[in-house]
Amino acid sequence: MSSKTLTNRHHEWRQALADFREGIEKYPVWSILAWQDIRQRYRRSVLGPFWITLTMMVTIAGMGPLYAALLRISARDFIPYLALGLIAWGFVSSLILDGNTSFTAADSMIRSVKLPLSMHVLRMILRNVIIFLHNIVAYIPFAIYLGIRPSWLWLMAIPGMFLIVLAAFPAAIILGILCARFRDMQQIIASIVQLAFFLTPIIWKPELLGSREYIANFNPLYLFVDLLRGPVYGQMPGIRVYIGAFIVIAVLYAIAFPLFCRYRQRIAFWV
Amino acid sequence: MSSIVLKNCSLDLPVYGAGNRSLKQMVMSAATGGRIASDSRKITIVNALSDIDLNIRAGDRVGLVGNNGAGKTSLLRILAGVYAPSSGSIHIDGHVTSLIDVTLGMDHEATGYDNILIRGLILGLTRKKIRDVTPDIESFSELGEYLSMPVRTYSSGMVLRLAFSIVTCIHPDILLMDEWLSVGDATFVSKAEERLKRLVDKASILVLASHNPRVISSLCNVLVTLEHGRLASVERQ
Repeated sequence: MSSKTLTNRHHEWRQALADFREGIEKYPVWSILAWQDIRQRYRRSVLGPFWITLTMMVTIAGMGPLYAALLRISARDFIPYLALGLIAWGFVSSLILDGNTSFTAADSMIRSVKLPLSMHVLRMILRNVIIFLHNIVAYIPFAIYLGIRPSWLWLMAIPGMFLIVLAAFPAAIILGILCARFRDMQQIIASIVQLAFFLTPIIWKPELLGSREYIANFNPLYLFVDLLRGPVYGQMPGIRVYIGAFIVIAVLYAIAFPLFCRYRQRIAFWV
Repeated sequence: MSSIVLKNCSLDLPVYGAGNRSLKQMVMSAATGGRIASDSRKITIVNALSDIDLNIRAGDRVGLVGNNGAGKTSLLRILAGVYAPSSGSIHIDGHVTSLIDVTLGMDHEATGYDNILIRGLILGLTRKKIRDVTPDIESFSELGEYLSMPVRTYSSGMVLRLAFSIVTCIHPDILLMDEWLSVGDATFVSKAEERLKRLVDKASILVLASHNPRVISSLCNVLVTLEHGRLASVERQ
């Protein structure tokens, strides 16, 4: 038996925290919904979720030699850089894009059952982690072909992934609330993400900027891409990257939490 | 003991048109001092419920009646905890099971068994509990082999039968229902009604919104009439 008193504007932050806690406790529900999302997308196809892997491999195989030639870098050096960059970018950008619809995509559930709202965000994050883990496989054939030996340093990509997940949670709350209220927000974010792909060092290297390397260094998305790509590519990200990522995460929580406290109860009206 | 107490509950629902859902329009109207797109800043507010005072005790079978748009579903959503009242307070003792949307969470590409698991988890059951009630759902839904097939191969009546069999296998404290669940063909209907009666008997409180006077009179002992978002009458029998 549970007892709850809902009075307006009282204990908003306590209720928001309770929502987070209950959201995590609802792991059995959102984990199966996340897997269901993946299955639904690839049901009735022979390769299933490995279509994600195959698409990524084709992209790398197509873009790698071309951009290596354009930028006059040896393909041997450039292809792993590009492959890891694209995989990391795929993870970061789809978390942003799916973050937009973390609430609107669950509208029928939000409007008929009382479930913690953070659950829908966690479902979206888990779905993207699963997709990302499929994408990593795409790197293996290139690594074998280019004779790259695995190193212990690669494991440092794992804390990188956790930092991305840690940042994705508040980011998806902010974007989810904004996109539920303002329906054209999603298109705006989509254009920004598309532009950001070219502004972030993925298909080019930051060294090429020469004295203007700061353009890359002030890009928060570059920080998160570097957390994943750096260790595996063999250029361990500096302590500055980690500090930068922690600052971005702190800022995101500082925005997301008050926003969630203030508008949590209105989300059901908006979706 | 389960109980529901509403004091002075009001609900204002914002209605958003295309204009005021757009960030561009908001920026435009702010930048032009509200001359361009001046209409877009006004958000229509519908006063869905006002000053609802209601005391529901354990054992109450509440029938919610009223015309379309009288606020029945809004009230159910407040009781479900989905909408927070704009003013006033609500106090609920007991676990609320909301059957406002019967086919909620149904994945048409997944098999019947997958859907039993998904819907069961959304209802708040554990995996073990779901395994325990699965035979009951199998026998009641009469779907047989179909349960291992994707739900998209079902007829609409079969989908409803599956959804109905799942949601009625629970033991609710407080049960909220919108409209009497109408299920498929004639042979199934009487079976379904009997099962619903048993479900309702197990619940401590039932709140049912319906347009069907026969259903209300056979099930409910408290009749709550809503008119334009206000309580018109509360009759206890």
